[in-house]
Amino acid sequence: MHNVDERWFGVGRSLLEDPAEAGAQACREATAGRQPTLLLVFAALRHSTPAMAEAVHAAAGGDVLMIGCSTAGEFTSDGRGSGVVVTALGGPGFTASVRAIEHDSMDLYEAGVTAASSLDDIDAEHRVVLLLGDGRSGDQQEMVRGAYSVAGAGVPLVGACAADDLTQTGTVSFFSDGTTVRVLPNAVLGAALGSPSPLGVGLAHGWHKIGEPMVVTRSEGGKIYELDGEPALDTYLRRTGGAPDLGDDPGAFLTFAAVRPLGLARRTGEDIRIIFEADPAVRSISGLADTPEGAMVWFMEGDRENVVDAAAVATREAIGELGGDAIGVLVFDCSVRLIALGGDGVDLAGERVRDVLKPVPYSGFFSNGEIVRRANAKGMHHLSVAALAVS
Amino acid sequence: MPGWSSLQLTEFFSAITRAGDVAAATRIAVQRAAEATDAELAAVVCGDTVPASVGLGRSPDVALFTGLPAGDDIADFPGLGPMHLTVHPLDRDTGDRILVARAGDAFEPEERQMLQGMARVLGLALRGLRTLETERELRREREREAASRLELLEALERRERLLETLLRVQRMVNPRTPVDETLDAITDGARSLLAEATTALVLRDGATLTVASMSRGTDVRVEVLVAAATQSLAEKAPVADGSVLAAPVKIGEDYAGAFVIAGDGQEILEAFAEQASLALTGAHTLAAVHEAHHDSLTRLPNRKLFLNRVEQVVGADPAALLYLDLDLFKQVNDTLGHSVGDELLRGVADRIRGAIRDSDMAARFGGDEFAVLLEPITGTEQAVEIAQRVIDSISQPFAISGRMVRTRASVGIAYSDGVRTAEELLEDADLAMYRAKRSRPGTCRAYDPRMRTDDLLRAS
Repeated sequence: MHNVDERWFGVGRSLLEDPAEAGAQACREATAGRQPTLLLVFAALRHSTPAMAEAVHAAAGGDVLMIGCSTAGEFTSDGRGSGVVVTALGGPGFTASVRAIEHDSMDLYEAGVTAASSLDDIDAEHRVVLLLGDGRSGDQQEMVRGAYSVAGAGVPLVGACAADDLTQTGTVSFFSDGTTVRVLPNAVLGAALGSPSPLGVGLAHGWHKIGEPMVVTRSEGGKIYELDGEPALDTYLRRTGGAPDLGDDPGAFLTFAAVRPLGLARRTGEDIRIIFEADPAVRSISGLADTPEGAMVWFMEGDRENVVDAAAVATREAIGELGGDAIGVLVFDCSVRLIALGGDGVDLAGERVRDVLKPVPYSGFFSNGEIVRRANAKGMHHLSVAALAVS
Repeated sequence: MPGWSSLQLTEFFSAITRAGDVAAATRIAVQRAAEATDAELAAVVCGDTVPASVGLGRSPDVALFTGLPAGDDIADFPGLGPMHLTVHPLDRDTGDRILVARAGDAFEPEERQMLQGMARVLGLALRGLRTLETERELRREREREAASRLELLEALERRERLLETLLRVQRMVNPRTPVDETLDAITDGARSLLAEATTALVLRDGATLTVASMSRGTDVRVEVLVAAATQSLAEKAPVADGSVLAAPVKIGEDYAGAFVIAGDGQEILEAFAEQASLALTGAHTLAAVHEAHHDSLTRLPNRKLFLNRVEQVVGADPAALLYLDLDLFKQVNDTLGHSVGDELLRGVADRIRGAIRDSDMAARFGGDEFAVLLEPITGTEQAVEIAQRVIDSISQPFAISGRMVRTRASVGIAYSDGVRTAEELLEDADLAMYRAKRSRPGTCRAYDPRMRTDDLLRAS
């Protein structure tokens, strides 16, 4: 059935209730009896157990490199769901090396340096570093900066931050450097992948800025206290048409604000900041990434058609970089797009990716921040779709 | 996107001021410079060393960066091929520099200017941090003298204040801040760092150089400031003439004027000149600067620019101030319409320009009020003679839209006495004009202190 002389990209999915059974089933489907070079595991939060990680690893033969993380939903060519998705890469020429950095063991910059040092073990014509950030702590751009300091301009960085089903409770990472399996809370993982044939990267979001700009007159890290000299929460709610007391209900505010992000001026467009929290006592709003004082920001608006299409656009761009046929594509899709587009919209986005790729398989997950660092892409992205095409 | 570069510089400032040592500052600088310009490579070069670089991995061959010939704008890097290169000195004396390379587009002037701003900020930060490191070293040795320690700490404090001030100014500067406020923020910011000094932005206004903003801390004549600016523009480099220093200010690629410090301010001169260049480039052009200081209808200087100039000369040479008010202007406006009224005001402005000398300055204060600064004057007769010339030229009919329109001007004159301020002189001239208008419209009268007493008597 499979030609063992070729590189392969296998995807398996299971929606079984039991995490370990789901993991084993997904892994068997992905590997189909072949020995993989690298396993990628994406699992729903309730499936993110040590037993699941062990079961996936064992089903692949028990001596294989593995990275993975919890998600806000996974997807493959068969659609999206909440269970376990395993992606396996193997065949002649593929080489891989992995690193795991436990939460708080070092700062995010050093975590990025360590994750990308996996490249030291890989000597191949084409290389990429896959990064899985924790999606919860501080300024994730620092992690990407650390990784770029090692990888340099010659090796693209791509990946995403783990998610927690939008529960804000914490993420889980799965890791194996061969024999032992580790399950780590809020960790940063890196995998260097080498191949004799090209690897392609794509990125798209489909949002654009609207209205008049505002100046961030007071902020600290990701917390914005003042916009245009007024309490940020008041300005934000007035300009977006939100109810003045919306800040008092964290759940309602998250749902409202997640699809009304801010954009920072950049040379080639805008850097999106998702607003996820309000502090009604000090009238501030918070985003996941640093929004510096003195910066000028706009409201960002997503034209539904463009936002739906972003997944297909990113996929097409990644494929386009190959200069040939893909054997599979990894897609990292922002979890907030679920809120912005709703189930139907996300399914439509998936269909379009399928149409672009047919019959090539793809897999991925809904993430808390997408990573692409290469020319014209500075690293951490939000409300975006990142893609890695493998040939 | 217009204005993006000054915003990126703001972020750069914020980041660099958080750096605790030279390694962190240079690392932040190369990351931010590369990210801000979407460039693949960036490096800081200090002599034969490269304290930080990004884009060529962890330990690239430093010769790749240190060996780049000066002036090249294309460089070849192993594995990456030919790239556009831009190099920016961190200061004037050490040769330290930051270089940035990009494979895609060539660097735009706005980007190069932003990078130059980043380079200067980094240079200042490094000097402060090196002072701090020297200080730590000294502390470790436990042999330092109290005096030198104090000196170092003071130097460090000065640098920190400088960075903080630049950051504060930078935060104010965005495309929506009026030009005036932007310029004042720069001169006031620089002045706040200097014990005794006057700071000024001298900018081109057509063929001449005028003081567009000034923060006065010492007694210095405007000619001295303009002369220093002129010299700096001629040499296209910072100059020092005694205690007056000037560095060129550019808008994009054009030399637009100079930042001038009268006093001891060598170490901040260029940083603020860069700041001014960047602020003006971000959103403003010389035209906008001109716009902010001129009346849009007549193109004459406005009240602010006029008073600025008066303030500069009242203490120096003998000067006279004319205050003009048109008689019958309201009737023209009411009966013939506003467009004829506007045309008349333009005509009057032209007649005033024609009647005064090149060294004088005419201004419109709004409505039908004008003022003229006569400087220098040989005596009161000369001022009266010029005032009469102005009155006579305005009393000639104006041909507007096929009809002849008449008006006349009443003029008040006040003479500088080395004591009264610009505002007071203006009040005096206004009062004299009012007396002329009331007693004999279409004539001129000189201010006499008794006019005030008369007014008081009448009021009581």
